[in-house]
Amino acid sequence: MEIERRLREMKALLAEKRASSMEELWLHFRELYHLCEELYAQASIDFLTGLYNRRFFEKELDLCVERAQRERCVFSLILIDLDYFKTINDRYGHLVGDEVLKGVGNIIRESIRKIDIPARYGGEEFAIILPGTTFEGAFSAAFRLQKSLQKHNFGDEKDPIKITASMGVGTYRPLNGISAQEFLSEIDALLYQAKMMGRNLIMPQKDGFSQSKELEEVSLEERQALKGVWTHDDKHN
Amino acid sequence: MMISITSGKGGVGKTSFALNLALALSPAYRVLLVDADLGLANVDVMLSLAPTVTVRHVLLEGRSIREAVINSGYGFDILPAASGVVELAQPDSEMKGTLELGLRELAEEEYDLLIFDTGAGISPIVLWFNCLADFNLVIYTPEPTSITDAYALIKVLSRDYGQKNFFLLANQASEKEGEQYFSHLNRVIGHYLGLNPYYLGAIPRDGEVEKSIRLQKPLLARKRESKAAQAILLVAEKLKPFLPGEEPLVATKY
Ligand SMILES: Nc1ncnc2c1ncn2[C@@H]1O[C@H](COP(=O)(O)OP(=O)(O)O)[C@@H](O)[C@H]1O
Ligand SMILES: [Mg+2]
Repeated sequence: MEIERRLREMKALLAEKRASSMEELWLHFRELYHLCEELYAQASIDFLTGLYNRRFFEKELDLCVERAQRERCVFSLILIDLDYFKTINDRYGHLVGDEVLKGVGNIIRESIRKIDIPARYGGEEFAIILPGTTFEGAFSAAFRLQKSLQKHNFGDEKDPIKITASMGVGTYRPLNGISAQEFLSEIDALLYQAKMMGRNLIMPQKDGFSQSKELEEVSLEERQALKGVWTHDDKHN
Repeated sequence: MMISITSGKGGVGKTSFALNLALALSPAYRVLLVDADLGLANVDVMLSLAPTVTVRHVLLEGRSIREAVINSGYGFDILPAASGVVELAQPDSEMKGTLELGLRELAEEEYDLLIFDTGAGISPIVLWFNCLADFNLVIYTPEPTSITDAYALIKVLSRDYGQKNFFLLANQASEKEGEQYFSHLNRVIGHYLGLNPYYLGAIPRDGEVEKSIRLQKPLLARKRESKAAQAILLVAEKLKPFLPGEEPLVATKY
């Protein structure tokens, strides 16, 4: 593979411990840096925040939809967009902006469970997939996250930097039978509404609360019991 | 009396069964088949009918429900749905009020039986039609997803909406398969939901069903001797004891 070949080359150069010129040394440094970046991307990690990257997120969302349809289970999705992030970049510069993004990444990581999948979805857009989670669960996770973000000071005592986020929250229900793309658009539309309605808001999916009482509660135990309905042939033959 | 044909999962054979059940019971019973997938008409398409007044005119334009009822040409009547009308996918409470009033009136004055062919899923309007009905006939095919959805629907209807009268019907299953599936499913339903659904039997997989849909002519009007048609006639017999009226057929071998 391309990356492996380049890594081997770098290793050989390092072993020889020589460079004909300063320029050549710099070229090696640059190559190493690019290699690091590419490895990160391959590992599906966003370089800046350490969360998953967009590509991985989209693949994972596809898998979740497939699993939900096959196993008749639900999962939830939170889409997050930082409010007025551009003003931070304008006022403090990109380095500070990057620090804020990193900080947000940390707060997201701290407020979710191990099984959840947090991703940096775009510039200042984040997403969290919550497997096996009903609407109430996802909504309270979003609520916790909103509170932690509000409390956090991304600057210092003299010059505090505060940030809020708008969010869309919804649950994928296999009986609705929509595709991953349709589901993502649905939640993205909620996020847009949250922005339109004044930001620092969590917009819940329509019927989210009323429907979560229904269907999502075919329990694991019941599902195990139902398995007996279509696997009985195996036992008899 | 009203009975809903419902399933949770789509494409399990609700519409073709509802149609043929209506045919099997008429004209002995006065039957109205209601296309309860209000925004996505199914029934008229399967019969190659092109109604000019539909439930859309009743709910959105104030026409009376009787104006929308048409004769199917096979001995029963139809209340046709609209085709591709988004507003009817989730009707508001005013529309539901109009519909309920109209349907109850028809059930009392003109028909022995209203059959609701519901849409798929568990959307509010599907649940609404099921709650309006006296009996919910749940169809499933012998597949994990179909059975899980049937169970989920029964669970929601019984636990959250107080429905208790369920019929179960296996489609695209042999008689033996149907019985095995039912005995297991019945045990799970009894154990977790405390219900005792009534088993109506199984309709075998039969190419004639698909052919009938393609030809837009009900199976029972085309091939009464086919395996699936015979099974549907048997199901109709099993249902008769539950239907109103002094039908002598009530005291048969079932
Ligand atoms: N007993 C059967 N044997 C073979 N095919 C069937 C049978 N029942 C239904 N089908 C096929 O399944 C498909 C879906 O049937 P339909 O009545 O439209 O289902 P639904 O109303 O539940 O969506 C049709 O194409 C039909 O040909
Ligand atoms: Mg149908």
